[in-house]
Amino acid sequence: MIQVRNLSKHYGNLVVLSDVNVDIRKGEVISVIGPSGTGKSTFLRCLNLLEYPTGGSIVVDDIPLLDKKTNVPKIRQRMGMVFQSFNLYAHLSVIENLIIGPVKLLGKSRDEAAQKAMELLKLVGLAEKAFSYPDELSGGQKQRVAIARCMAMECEILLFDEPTSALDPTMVSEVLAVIRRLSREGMTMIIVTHEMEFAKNISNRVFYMDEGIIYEEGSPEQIFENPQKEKTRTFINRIRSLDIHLSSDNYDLYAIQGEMKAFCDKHFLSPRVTDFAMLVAEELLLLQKNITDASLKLSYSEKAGTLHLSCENLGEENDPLKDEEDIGLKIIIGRCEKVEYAYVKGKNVLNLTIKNS
Amino acid sequence: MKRTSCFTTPEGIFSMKKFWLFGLLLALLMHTSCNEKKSGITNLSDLEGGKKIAVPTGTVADKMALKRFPDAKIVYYNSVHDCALAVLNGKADGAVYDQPVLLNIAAKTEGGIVLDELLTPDYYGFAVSPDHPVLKAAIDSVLHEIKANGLYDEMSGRWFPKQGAPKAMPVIEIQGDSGILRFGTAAVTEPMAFVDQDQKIVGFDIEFASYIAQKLNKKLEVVNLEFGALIPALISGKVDMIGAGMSITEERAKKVLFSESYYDNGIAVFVKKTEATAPAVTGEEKTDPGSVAQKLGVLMGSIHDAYAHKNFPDASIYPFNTLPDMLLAVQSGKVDAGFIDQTSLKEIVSRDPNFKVVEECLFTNDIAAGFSKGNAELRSRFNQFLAKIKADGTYDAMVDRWMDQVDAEMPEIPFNNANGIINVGIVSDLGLPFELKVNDQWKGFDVELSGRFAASLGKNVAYTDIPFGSLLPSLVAGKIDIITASMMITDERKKQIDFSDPYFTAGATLLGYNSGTKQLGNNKLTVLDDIADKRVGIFTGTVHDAFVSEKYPKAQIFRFESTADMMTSLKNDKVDVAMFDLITAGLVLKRNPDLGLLSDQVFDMPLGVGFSKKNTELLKEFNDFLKEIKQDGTWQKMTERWFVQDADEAVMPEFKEISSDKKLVVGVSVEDLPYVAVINDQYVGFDIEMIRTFAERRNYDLEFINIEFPALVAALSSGKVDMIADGICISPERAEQINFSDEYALFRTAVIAHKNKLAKYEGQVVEAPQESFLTKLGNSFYNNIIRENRYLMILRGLWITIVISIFASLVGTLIGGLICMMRMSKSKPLKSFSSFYISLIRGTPVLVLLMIIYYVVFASVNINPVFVAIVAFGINFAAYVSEMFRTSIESIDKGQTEAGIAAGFTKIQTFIHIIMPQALRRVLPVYKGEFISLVKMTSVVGYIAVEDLTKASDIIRSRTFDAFFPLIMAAVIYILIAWLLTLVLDYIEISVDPKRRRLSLRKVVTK
Repeated sequence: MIQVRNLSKHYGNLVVLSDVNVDIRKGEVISVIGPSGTGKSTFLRCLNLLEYPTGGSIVVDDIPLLDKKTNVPKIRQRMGMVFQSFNLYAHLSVIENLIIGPVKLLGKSRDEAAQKAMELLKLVGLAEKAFSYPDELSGGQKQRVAIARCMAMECEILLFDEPTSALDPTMVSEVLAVIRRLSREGMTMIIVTHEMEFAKNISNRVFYMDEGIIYEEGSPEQIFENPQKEKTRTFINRIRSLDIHLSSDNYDLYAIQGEMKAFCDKHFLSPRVTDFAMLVAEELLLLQKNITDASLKLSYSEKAGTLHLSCENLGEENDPLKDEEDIGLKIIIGRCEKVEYAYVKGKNVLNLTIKNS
Repeated sequence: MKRTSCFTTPEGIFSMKKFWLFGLLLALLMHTSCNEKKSGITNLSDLEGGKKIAVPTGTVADKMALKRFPDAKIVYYNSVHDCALAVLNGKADGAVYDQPVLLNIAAKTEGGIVLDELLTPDYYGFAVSPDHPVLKAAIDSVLHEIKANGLYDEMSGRWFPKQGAPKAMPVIEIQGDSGILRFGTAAVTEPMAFVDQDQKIVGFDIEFASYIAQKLNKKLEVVNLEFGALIPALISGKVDMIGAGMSITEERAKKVLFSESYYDNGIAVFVKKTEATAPAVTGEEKTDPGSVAQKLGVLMGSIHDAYAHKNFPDASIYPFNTLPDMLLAVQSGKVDAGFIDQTSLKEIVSRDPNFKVVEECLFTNDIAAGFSKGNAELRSRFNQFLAKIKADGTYDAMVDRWMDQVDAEMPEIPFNNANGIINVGIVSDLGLPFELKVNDQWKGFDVELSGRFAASLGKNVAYTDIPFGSLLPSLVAGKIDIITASMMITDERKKQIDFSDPYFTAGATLLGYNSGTKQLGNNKLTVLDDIADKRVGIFTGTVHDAFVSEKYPKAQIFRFESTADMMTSLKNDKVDVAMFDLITAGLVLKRNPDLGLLSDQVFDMPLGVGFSKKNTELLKEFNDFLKEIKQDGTWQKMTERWFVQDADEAVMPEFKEISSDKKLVVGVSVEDLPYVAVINDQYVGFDIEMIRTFAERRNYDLEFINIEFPALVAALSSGKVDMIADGICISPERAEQINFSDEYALFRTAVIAHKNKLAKYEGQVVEAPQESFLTKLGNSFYNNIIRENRYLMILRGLWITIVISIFASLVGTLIGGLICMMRMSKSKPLKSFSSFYISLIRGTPVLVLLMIIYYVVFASVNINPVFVAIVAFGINFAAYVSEMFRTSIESIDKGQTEAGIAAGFTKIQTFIHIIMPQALRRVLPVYKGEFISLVKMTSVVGYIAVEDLTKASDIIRSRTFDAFFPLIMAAVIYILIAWLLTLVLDYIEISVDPKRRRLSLRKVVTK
């Protein structure tokens, strides 16, 4: 459906995209992931010419987008875009947002468009809000209306530019649910996102963008479980584990627990397991004496379904497992499948596997 | 001339409860007695017949006074000093109290004396408890002793001197072995018992008590009590003996045992010195020069200071540190007049001739050099020196040099073998002729005098510059040896220092100033030249402007646009005089009885009709016509009708309506009769009649256009009119721009002022007729709206204003939108052009823009001025609204545009459907404001001959001279227009509100 060849985008001396080559076929759901500032959004916005590429070519359904003669607005009508900041037309009600495109651009009658609009709103669960104005909706509701607005235009392909980044976690799920439904119905979608779990579940292709190109691409399993290239691996790893460094006894336990909780939430771990992890971490830290250079690592392997917590503490050899009567130790052991201790290279290393249920 | 002030309520009224009532009563009494002429009190019988007598509270003085003067009005004060002060200030005729106390006060103050005749005799006695007759006997025996051995007389002399304060208490040795004599006194009665400056209790009684203690060989303990507590203290045994100038009375004698009387005195009366009783101050006193000056300046501590306080009790006396300060205050009007030495007068006036003498020589006084009291030798040397130079002619030479010339030079003074220095205290800015420091050199009479004196002693001289008030302390402290600072000999000063023989006699002059606007009361306008320094009102652009500027350069000129404005300013005292042409002046005077004519002999100018320089044919034609009407008597008839008779009554003759191909457009500015006025919607006046006659006789299709006076010439030069007339004076300056016809009338100028500024109406009470506000309002309403169908003019003006406002705003909005688009485009030239347009138009005042477009751009084009107004205001409006549009558009979030583009709208579609609706909502509130501004700005179209609402009100004002009503009426109408037109915008604003559209869609969807 879309062929992109040698796409490049410069802002003066800054090269954002250097050489992007990709084919997008009908019905594909593609997730675009990668660190911030690597051109993910720029790439997306080049596809519908919101940004004008510096070089390369984009062909949509055999029509070269960058040709002077091409009627770009018309092609855009077939591509819908969902923005991070929703961008609903502020002066129109929800239903008017949905009918303005069809009426003005597709020549539909107002009644026809209105009927269709109501159906779409039902689809996204917002039929009740048809006559509300954007400033009366929550973020999640606005985004769902934005999606419905695109659907009202009968788009063939939907471009999502970080659709849930501006939403708080409670609203994220409602939007992801709608997107999931769309994918089941066979809509071609390109989604730039930071929601890794979501990306893994929903897409059939994943682009990892870095260095101005599509650095690595593959199926979700390939990218998330077995990243080949080094940078991909670093990225994936980073999202699969949480590293916390401590330099003194005066560590901020609450901050650490906060990060751990967020990590657990991200990986959809059950509350019970999350509690275990937090408790164990607290007790583990209390066991450490004279912290000068220590690190805590929480990692989750989806394949194995295991949650690991390890702690490395630079210092004299000190085996906490010796003191069996210690209450803290008892708490830890009670919640872990495995507890191992080793003194390696001057560091006290404790490896724990937290019970999964 | 002294008048008792009528506004005091006396302090210390006895019964505080009835304070207000009494005060009121007293004020009434005082008022009725206010107008009596006061003659001096010279003996007791003068106090009879209801005079005011001041007494201190809590004494028996009031009873005494009433016994003698049964119908006297008693006024109570806190202390006997306050009573005396009241007498000196004229608030009471006499003060009654114990003689010794009054003598003491009289000796220490100036201006009061104690009458010789006593009210009643009185005896002072010491009192002891009735249980102690022995003590009484002791007291009596002491009394006899000291009377016999002369000590008593000494005491009297000490404590009751004829002049000045009592002397010091002598030291009295007391062994005091046999105990203590406790002496109770009330140390408030000088000189019997009082507290001296060293905080010691001293006095006649105290001294006496000391002798008693001495005799009894007891120590003296003085106990200071309240007077009323003395007797109780005695009886209770707290003190052994009391004395405080206490009178022996029967009542008291019941409780205590009195000694023999130790002082025979009496109750006396203290009165003000009058001409008959007062010994003259060394010199003559003149009566002060009328109640002219309210604020007087004096040099601090000078004799003028005291003099002014004494003789000008009602004026405010302002002391100044230096003479230049005081002179400056006189110049700037901060004080009305100031006291100076007569000899300095010449020099001061030579520096600034605007100083004028109010009174040449109020009094004279001798000037002498001052020496400290210890330096009697130096003083006698000086007197010798003085006698010598008077004998050998040096003195006369000095007087010649300094007193008669204005700018003399110091002569050489030979200082040979100078050993030692004489320090001379002088005041550097007293000025010539006495002393002045110029370029670091001293010169002046005093300087020469002291210099020569020092030289005569073989010493050198050093001058110390001190402020006048510090001279005496410096001398007393020994910092200087001699004072020569034109210092007058006064008794007061004699107490501190000794004076040489007088070396000059100086007079005191009261000096005022001729400032422009405020005069010392009596200076009213008498002749035309009196306006030289006043505020003069004239018409803008008239010949009066040049005339006044040239002839009276010091006058403040205020320029006005219309007779009505000038009139109002005159009445509201914003100008002192106003210049009109004589005929108009006559009408003005007729309508305003509170104004008067100052002069009608100002200057005469010929009047002519103006023609464009190009149009010499028409000029010739008109001049021929003028000759014609002068010959055939028409001109005479017209003059008679409009200038000689009352123009108000004149009736325009009938004219035929001419329709011909020859068009004549005449520009007039409607000011008033007799030249051009609008009555009953018709143009009338001498000029109108003349031109109509011309048109009729020469077969012209005539049209009058009404233009503001200053714009007439512009209209002529740009060809908008063929001739202009409205009592225009032929002046050389104007003749450079346009041609004038021959003279058709003579323009005489008159100067008018409010009657109470004119000398010739002195004494007449002038008040504008008072009407109730409602009647005034009713009259105004009738005059301004109903009369002569003026409301028609108003309605027409109103219509024009609305038309211009609406169309200008439409045009402006369109142009504004265009400019906005250019400003926001990517094309550099478009951007620059629109920026430039905006800066240029926003920076030009709308009136200037209007006149440029009408008189310059469309100069020779025959174009409807209303159209020009619409274009001009539209251009102006566009410059402002374009920026408002841009702001409102740019304030919309970029995401809205992106969403539109991403949805497939073209840029233009995005703008129209998505951006503009939102921008419109944002811009409406400020757009409304700009629109209201526009409506008000249209009020200047009168300058291009459009008769809008403001011009209509101006025309009416020019007829009625009513300032208030027409202006308020115009304002009210403008507010109404603005409000109504913005209602329309409000409606748009509401209908553009998206939330109102909900309802319409509901119907569709819920089908």
